[in-house]
Amino acid sequence: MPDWQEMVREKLAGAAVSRRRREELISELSNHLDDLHAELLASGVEEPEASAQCLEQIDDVQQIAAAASRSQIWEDFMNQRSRTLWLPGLITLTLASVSLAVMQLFTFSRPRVYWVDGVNVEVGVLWLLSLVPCGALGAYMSCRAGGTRWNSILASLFPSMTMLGVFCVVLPIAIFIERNTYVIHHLRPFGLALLAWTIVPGVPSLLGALAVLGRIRGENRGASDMPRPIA
Amino acid sequence: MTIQSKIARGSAELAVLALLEERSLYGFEIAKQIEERTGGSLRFTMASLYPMLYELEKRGSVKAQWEANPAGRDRRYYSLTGKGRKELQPLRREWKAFFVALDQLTGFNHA
Repeated sequence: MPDWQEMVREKLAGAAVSRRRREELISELSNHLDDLHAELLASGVEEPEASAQCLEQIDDVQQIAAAASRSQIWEDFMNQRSRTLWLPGLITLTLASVSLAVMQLFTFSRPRVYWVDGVNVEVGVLWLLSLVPCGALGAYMSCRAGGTRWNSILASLFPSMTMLGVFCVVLPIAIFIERNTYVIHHLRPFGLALLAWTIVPGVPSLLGALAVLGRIRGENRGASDMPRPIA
Repeated sequence: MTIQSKIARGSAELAVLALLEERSLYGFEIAKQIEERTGGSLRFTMASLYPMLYELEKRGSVKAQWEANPAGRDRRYYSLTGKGRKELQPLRREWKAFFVALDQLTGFNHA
């Protein structure tokens, strides 16, 4: 009997559907062909003829994929990367920013300020703790949208990556283009600020993400690897 | 008759919705039951069945859900939604009226 799953997969290679949807189509259509093949055999059709009849239907798989593509309402607006990385990342960043703003309003949770060579380096312990659930949420959203493990981790690290991006743009401009003497003479504290806004917040975000990913992996262990719709 | 013409597609939608009103079914079961119950008059190929199911799903008339099957492969079951249930009654009436009108015009029922 031909490997229907592999044949459907080949036919769907160039289909304009998300990875997750493609896997669903492969499972659904290859199951259909398996059932059809088994029924034809049971009804007395010879194996070569049964396979030939199923193969005729495989030619239509791309037409089915086109219909599936048209019916992807959510995917019409966002592609797979947006759903698994940009959107969860943006939500994580927004939550982290709101959390920081809210905590700065309260005196008891103001960030601890360290003066290093005349430059203040802020470390907000409560804010850092709040990044654990923020990172966990980003990873969860990415994972549920069908994101890979790396997508989920990157989504959870979005606040840190954004700050890294800001530093990577601002510092070289200040040093090499503006020739800002204040920055040039305070590279050590600015380096510490870079650590305080990127690596340090990244740690709790990563911990939150790893906790969620570990839990999801535990839940999926032993379960079918069939892609499932989000409830 | 395979589901190709517009009229056949319309009737096939009614057939699918009516079938799903009874219980949830996966794609192959839908095709098989329709073929059996119509004595082979309506026959679905994959290319006629699944685009229709996806269209019905997009419209919100049916919903699909993967269900684990301990004895074998997991299946994507289709079931009628509340919206689909509401659509079914006027669709039935529409088709009944259509056949009555066609009967009056051509007398095909008595042929």
